[in-house]
Amino acid sequence: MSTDTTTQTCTITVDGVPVVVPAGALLIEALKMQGIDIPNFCYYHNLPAQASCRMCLVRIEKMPRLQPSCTTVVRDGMAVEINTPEILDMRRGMLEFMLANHPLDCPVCDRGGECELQDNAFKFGRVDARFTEEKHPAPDVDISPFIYNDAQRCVFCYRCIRVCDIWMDVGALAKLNRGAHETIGTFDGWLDCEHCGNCVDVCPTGTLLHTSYKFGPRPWTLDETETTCSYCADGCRVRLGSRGDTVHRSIARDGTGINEEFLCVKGRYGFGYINSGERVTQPLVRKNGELHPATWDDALEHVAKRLGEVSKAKGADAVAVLGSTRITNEGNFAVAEVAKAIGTPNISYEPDYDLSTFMKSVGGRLATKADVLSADVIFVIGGDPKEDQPLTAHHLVQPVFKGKAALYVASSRLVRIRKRASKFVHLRPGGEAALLLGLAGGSLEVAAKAAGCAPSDIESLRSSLEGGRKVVVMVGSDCRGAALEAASSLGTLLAQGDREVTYRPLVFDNNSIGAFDVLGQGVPYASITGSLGDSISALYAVGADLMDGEDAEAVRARLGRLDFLVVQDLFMTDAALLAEVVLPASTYAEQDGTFTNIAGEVQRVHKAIDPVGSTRPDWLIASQIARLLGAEVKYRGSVSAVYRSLTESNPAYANATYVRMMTEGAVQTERPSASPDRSALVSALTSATAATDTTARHNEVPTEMGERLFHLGTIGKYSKLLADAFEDGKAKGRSVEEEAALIPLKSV
Amino acid sequence: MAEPVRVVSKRFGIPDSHTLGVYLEHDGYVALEKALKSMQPADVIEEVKKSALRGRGGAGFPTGMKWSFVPKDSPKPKYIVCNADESEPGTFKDRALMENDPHSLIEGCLIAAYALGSHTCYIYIRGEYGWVQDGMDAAIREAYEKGYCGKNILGTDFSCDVYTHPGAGAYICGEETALLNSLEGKRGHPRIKPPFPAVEGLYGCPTVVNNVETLATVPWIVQHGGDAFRQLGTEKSGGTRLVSVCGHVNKPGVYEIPLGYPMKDLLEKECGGIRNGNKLKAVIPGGSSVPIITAEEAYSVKLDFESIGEVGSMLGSGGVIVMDETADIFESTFRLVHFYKHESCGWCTPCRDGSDWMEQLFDRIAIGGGRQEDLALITSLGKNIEGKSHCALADALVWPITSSMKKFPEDYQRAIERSRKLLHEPAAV
Amino acid sequence: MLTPEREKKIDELLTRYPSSRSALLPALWVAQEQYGWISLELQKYLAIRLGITPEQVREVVTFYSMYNERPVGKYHLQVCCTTPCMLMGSDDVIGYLEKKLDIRRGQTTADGLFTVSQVECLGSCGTAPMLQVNREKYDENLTYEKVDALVDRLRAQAEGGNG
Ligand SMILES: Cc1cc2nc3c(=O)[nH]c(=O)nc-3n(C[C@H](O)[C@H](O)[C@H](O)COP(=O)(O)O)c2cc1C
Ligand code: SF4
Ligand code: FES
Repeated sequence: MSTDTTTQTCTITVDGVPVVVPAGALLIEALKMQGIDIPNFCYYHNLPAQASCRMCLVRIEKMPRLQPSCTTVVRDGMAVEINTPEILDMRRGMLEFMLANHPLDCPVCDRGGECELQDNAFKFGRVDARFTEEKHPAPDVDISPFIYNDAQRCVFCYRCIRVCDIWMDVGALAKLNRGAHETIGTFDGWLDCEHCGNCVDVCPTGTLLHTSYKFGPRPWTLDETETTCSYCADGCRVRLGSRGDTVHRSIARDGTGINEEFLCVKGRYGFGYINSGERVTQPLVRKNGELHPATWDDALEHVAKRLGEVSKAKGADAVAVLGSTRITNEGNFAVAEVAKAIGTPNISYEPDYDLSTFMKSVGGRLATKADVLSADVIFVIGGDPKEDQPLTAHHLVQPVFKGKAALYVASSRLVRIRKRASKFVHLRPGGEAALLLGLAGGSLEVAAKAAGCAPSDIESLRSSLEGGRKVVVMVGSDCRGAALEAASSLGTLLAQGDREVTYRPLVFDNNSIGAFDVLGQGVPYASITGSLGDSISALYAVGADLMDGEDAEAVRARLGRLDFLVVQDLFMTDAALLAEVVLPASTYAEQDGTFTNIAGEVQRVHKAIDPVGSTRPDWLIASQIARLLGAEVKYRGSVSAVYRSLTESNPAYANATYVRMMTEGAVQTERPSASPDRSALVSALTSATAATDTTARHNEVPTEMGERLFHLGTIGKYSKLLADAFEDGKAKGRSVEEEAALIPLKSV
Repeated sequence: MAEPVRVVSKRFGIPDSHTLGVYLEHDGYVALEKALKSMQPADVIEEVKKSALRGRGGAGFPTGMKWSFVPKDSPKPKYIVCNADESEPGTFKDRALMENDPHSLIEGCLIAAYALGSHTCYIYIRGEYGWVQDGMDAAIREAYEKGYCGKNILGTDFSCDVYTHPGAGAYICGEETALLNSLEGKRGHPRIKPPFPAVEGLYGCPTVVNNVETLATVPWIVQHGGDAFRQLGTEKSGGTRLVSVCGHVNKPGVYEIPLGYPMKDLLEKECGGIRNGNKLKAVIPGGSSVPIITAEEAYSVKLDFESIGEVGSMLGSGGVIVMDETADIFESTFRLVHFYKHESCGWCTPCRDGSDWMEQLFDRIAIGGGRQEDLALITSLGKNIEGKSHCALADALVWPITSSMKKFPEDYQRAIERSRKLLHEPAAV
Repeated sequence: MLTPEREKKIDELLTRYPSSRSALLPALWVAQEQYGWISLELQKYLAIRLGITPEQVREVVTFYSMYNERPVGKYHLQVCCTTPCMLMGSDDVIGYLEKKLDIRRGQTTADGLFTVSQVECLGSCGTAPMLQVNREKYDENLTYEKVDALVDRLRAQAEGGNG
């Protein structure tokens, strides 16, 4: 329980030395601010106090017993003793108890070197072993495809349990048995959870560990690089641990990013694709119908030559260029340079969210973490952060747990986040516009009928939203057209009042917003794919999942009719198999650059390992092609120069310099908020409502845990650990029935 | 000395004393009526304060003071919780009370609820007492039927529900905050204090937790006045209390004594002396958790909070465990160590790991392989446990050990010697 | 999974508390009365019944010593051996039972009738030695003869129940 740091201070004495600390702070935190570390196991900032390990006891004047510094609030004039023989004895005694039943197997423990128990034993422990009785042995067991439990090493700090309950809102870990027989466990031996692995990272001992790191390299032999996760738009900071050109793990234990120590299953265990044996590692050029390895020079020249030919023969418009929501901003920027060099307007990317509508109408700032954590009302419409944006979900339940914010959810799906909502409005499919019309003050009866809910639902939702002072609106991808415009401008629709409304588009891919910012003003993706093989004869596709949809076969036929197809990707995708040239790209772990997250914040991507094989970063490949096409490319070989050009051409990025990112981490782009016309919005909603299919039945099937969280995309597919676990169902969450029956935990 | 006044046990022994009819014939619900109809809640608290009644659950905290900690103006509901977990070895008085006089407990709960503005009482009964809970439930049903519980009690606008709640085998649930967790359907781990239950207890609401006997004493106090009760005991320890005597006496059982009553009289008069005419060796005067005292101390001590403190022990839960010359203090303490190890809730390090180690040590000494240094190790482990735990259970593990080692060192020495022999003559085991 | 009367009992329990989770301990008793022990399946059922998680149920089941996560004999003979009872000869009683039933404490007889357990203080110290059968009223002031009579009575009761 961290206390708000107010400006008020008080003075306490620590072993006789006066120190000034924030009034109302917990002693252990106050001392930490002074650089004084009190050894502890069960204390963890951001988790409710527990006071069970007793390692942090201190002597406080006038108190008969030693007091835990993790629950003691500082008082002016308090005299504290932390380094007296009494306290040192106590610590030695406590460690002796914790180690009594411990197997003392540091040499074979994967936590060795970053173990709080080991560190404290080294600092405060005793050398003579007085415990000569028998230990209670416990074998180590896998409790998840990702996590194993070596119960004998446990010191019962329960950090893992609290993290699972409170950070993750999952509650899959349990304390079993009593007293000396107690263990950390699960209901039936198998973790029924989201497999985020946060429980492992907060463990101060070698009890919970990653199967992916079993007998892995010693932590101190790893090179560690802080970068930004490549999976979802939340954009967690991860630390990649690598040795040579292999990534061994992905953690967030330093807690320096917007996610602090949090990571989800993909961010933590999805790094396997980086060193997957299936990566394309060298350029391929088709000769006599077959793809053959080629040198970079040959491949790039071939590409430039063929693109030039098509453009000359059929006009620049006959060439199309596709970027990606997955690659860096620098990558997309350089890809756009290729289009410019050719002179084609046909540049696009496959969006996972209608950001152009959203950004056109968004009535305020994009909500940051700080906005979410300090909100008093959070409204989620048409989406489920619990499945799609794990960090967003983690952040939004925190104020809800603390009773500081009320959550309202409206969706046509029985989304998992509804469990935490003060009110859940179950819409009929397509009912979003009608609900919004009701919220905007339209006829309750009409709105309720089309939305498929009770008029009173809309009424109470409206008064709750209007009662908020700091409102965050999270707009899911179920909102389309008029509903999307209205949701992203909800503040204008509510009764006027003194409130700040911020918005979060529930985009999915890690660089959706970046791709929109860099490429989004171009031609719609569908009009490009729809013209392939007709008006478009050559395609340069970068990181594009061309054939991932239901129309894969139609796309295949169209691709077959192209004069020239060049695919730049990490793997031999279905489209790559049809290409004339395949250019092997590097993953985010092999390059520098930036991603723009769900809050429109730009964050650095840092190179952790050298490019695998002879792969190259997208920005480098694209800029080389552009140069070969005759463009004047200023930024030879320097990614920071690419980014500088980007910031010069895009005012939203002007302030988000590499230097600022270095010191501040995430830097929010600055975009003007739209001021949509209220009456236009209402009339659009009115017609959308009138067009709602009121015979559509409610979807009564609850979404299953992991239905979308474990929706992996290309990179996930090639991360063996993830893919295997999900494929054979080992990582499956609770059954639909169980999930449906489990109502909110009343108190945590 | 005149026949002592009986307060809480006055209906013991009357046929069918557990029924409402008999209860009513013997002053039943007179105090409730008096409180509801002629006293303000504050007056009730005042009387209890005057009575100098101290909690009978073990800690001996002044009951009136505890009640006055409940915030008057809290908008939250308030709860009365009766601690009927009675698990302290040597203690069996609350069971006797609930079996013989369930209505006095119900009446006590209701008066407390009235005094504190509560409308719900839970009686948390240890899981093993299944039939005792059934009896309480039957009495509660009778009280509902006759309008002593439920809506508009005795025609006033005071309403209050009374429920029983079973435990399921966990000594720690006698600790009041562990009890509250248990009542909330959780594991019985004690909570961090402060906040104390009076401010944030059951469901985070103001809650008073009192022992069965404490609550059952309240009707008498309300009926006869706090001063009358106080005068039954000593200046600082008001009134009478129940003690349950077990072990090597001729007549073990539950007796009501005025505070300040000589232990010698209790053992010799009430309990008919030591069995088989044997010599007294030791007494644990207040349930297994308190330090042991020698025969000489027992014969000189008076049963009140102060004088028992002078011999280094406590009145605790009123469980008097008597040991004659045949008892082996090492063995009897070993069994207590086993008890505390079994009952440690596992929350905090010194208790969970310390009790386990301690038990293993005692066990090794008992079965062979004990070493002279083990005695020093026991003392040292005790030091590392005592005063460092989350709740008082760990102290309750250490006190019997340290006090018995101090007062009966020869028993420990004998245990070590026996142990050495056992190791060298394994065949003799 | 529970008989209609027991379901009704749980419904009634749920009215007693402002939080359904509070009904867990009594509800587990209701379930254990029917089956003699509480399987994982039953725990999951109760979790859903009370609107809590299965983990929250199992945490509780494994904490309290009286809930059985495994089947026990029809008659669970629980002999108190804490200090006051020990002083009065409880070790002899439990030893006698072990010999008589030819099992060790913690075990169940082959016919599934009896389990013998050593338990901690049952609050019957003045009437020691003593034991408790299942959750029945205690058998106190035990002697070998009383133990014989008790076992005979339970055997007869079991036969009567079957016949
Ligand atoms: C480990 C432990 C066990 C306890 N067991 C009991 C018990 O079985 N019955 C009881 O009334 N109080 C017990 N107590 C004391 C309670 O915590 C609490 O002080 C008491 O219920 C308050 O009621 P009173 O003021 O009426 O005594 C125990 C305390 C501890 C630390
Ligand atoms: S929440 Fe998103 S950004 Fe964070 S670790 Fe998971 S996939 Fe990566
Ligand atoms: S010690 Fe056996 S009943 Fe108390």
